[in-house]
Amino acid sequence: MNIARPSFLKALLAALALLAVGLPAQAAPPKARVSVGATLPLTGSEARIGGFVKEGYELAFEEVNKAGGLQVGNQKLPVALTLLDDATNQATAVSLADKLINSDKVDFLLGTYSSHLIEAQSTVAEQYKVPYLQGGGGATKIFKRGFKYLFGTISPVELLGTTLMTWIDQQQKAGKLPKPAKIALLWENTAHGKDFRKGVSDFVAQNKGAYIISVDESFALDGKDFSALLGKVKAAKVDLFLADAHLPDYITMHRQYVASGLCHKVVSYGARGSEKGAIDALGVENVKYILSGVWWSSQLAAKPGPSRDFVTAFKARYGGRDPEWFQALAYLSAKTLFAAIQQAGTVDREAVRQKLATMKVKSLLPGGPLEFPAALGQQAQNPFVVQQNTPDGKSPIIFPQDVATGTGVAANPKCPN
Amino acid sequence: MRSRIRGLAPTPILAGFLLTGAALAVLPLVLELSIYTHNLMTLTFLSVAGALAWNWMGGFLGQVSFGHAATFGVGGFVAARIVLWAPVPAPLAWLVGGLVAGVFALGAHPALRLRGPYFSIATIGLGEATRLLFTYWEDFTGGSSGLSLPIETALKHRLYWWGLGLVVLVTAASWLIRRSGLGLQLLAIKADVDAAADLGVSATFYQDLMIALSGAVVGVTGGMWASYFSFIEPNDMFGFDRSIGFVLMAVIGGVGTVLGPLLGAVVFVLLRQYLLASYPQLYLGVYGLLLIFIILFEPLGLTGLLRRLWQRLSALRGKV
Repeated sequence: MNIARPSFLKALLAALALLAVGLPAQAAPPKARVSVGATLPLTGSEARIGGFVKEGYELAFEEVNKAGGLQVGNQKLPVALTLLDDATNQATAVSLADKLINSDKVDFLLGTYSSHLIEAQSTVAEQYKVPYLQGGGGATKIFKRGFKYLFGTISPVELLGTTLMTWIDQQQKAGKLPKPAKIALLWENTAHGKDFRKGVSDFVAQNKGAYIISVDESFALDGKDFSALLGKVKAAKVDLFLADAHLPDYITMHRQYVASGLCHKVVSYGARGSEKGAIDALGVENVKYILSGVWWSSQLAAKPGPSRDFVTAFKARYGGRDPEWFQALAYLSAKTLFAAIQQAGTVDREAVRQKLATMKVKSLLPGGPLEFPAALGQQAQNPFVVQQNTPDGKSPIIFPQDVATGTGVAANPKCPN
Repeated sequence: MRSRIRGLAPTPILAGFLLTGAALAVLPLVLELSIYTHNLMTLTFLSVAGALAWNWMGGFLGQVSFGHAATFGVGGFVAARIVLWAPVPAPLAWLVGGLVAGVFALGAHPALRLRGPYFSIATIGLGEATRLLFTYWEDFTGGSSGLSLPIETALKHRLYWWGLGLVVLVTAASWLIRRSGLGLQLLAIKADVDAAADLGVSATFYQDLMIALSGAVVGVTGGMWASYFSFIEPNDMFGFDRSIGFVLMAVIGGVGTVLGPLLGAVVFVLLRQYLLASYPQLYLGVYGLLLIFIILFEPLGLTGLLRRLWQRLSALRGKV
């Protein structure tokens, strides 16, 4: 009894001490899976592309789950994707991201598609400190806000304008295009379009005497009638027609371009032109020689590497169909997030964010490895590839030379002298 | 004075209204609402306030506006600019945004000569013209790139109570307008503007007053919206979809009634969010069906439905 009393007192004191410092934290229940959320424009004006991005995400998730899941520390966890439709609407994209984070309790977010939706939605991820990886919004303005949790696998649209002009400049220097060449520069009135305009305008300013921008006009997104704009282009008698448009506007505008009887030595709609859907909608004859600059092309699969692996997997999953850059960048975004989680060895958001900010991973993008330079707002800076539609309905890569699968044609042979 | 207030608002209604407001105010403090629910309720309050203010024009005055997004956008961008330019409290910026939106709404004065569908068509034109004007006014709105505001999590959280306060104010104002002499004069203008003028009702003045007040409140909600989202863009703020949204909320709930737009906005925001999150393929179809049902069978919307139910219940009680 005498012996027991001090033990009892000790135990009591120990219990009180524990109460004073707080009970030892209960161990968190073991994580059953890694949960990732995303919204996509599955209805509304960007529904078509939203569907493409969905394909890329789903393929990446299927692959990793088939392989047994992600190696997170010393356990293998499956990954689950919660995908919602933001109806191509900013407010909906924001409030569904809020739902994914605060109600569905996802660990990480993947981006929606289109710069204007991503610009709005990424504020929610930043607010709640959730890593947000996206390959659908290339406007530089998105990345100039000092956000820490936003990462872009998509290079700046400004670089797209510069890349197209670099190829055009080579043709001009080879004597295939007039000097000075008159340009019609049409850009959608969005951050995306403004970036494209800046890329082209800066190039023109740096090459004084070689180019004159004769028409510099913006147009509203989702336009239905471009006839007035095309009338101005016709009156200006330009040599180069350079527009920046999203897919629905490209199809509408080019249909009216063809109907107006326009023809230019170089015709480009920025990143659009080589999409199979657009070729089907407009007819092979009408899209011949259109130049486009894209973030990725399935022709990069000609050489062994990540692009070939992706194209093989995509074709096997989607009935032999060739992927476009939308699916590729979506797939890449998901895969990069998985790599960051595995390298961090945890699903802790801050640890994964830090890993993303410093990592350099092998990627399917032209130019090779992918990284997110902090000085450029954590936006990838990989080069574009330039493609040109050919009369047989194909779109070989014509620039840069090291990945080219065909030779570009300038001036447009369709136009009468 | 007390009897006058009692005349405007019978005690049970006043008590019910105040109790509901108080219950909603303490709800996040007593219940552990998830952040998502908290935020969704904030959005609902903003929509309710906007719909109630729209109803002053479209319901009480009978001038159905398809251009209220213009005042929403003006209020939002003015408030956003003030927040970005000067370190003023956000509520002051919302207030100034609302005042500017109210004055801006008076720009629709010439259209008030038109009645019925002609007025509605004119407001579509005014709304779209405003959208284009502000989209191309890059120095002020950032153009199509929009404006990013500082992300203030605490302010977003507090917006719940600011939004609720606005709803309480606007609901009370709706009730008072409906029950006051002003409401009767608005009804007279709605029924026949010429006959009302013959009876000495200053139709022009009251129409201007209502369009300015309605525009100002919608402008304040625009300012709060900007603070909530931390990013605004002209095509979204001034979009035609937004104007249609105000009309739909009122139609679903019951145009011209006091509580109709409130009920309509609650259904509009919550049902839409639920359908979008759970049944994305169905949400447009469900909306379409809801509208067709209401227009065909119950022109007074949910309010009419509730009234019918109430009458049935009363009749049953009488039989018992």
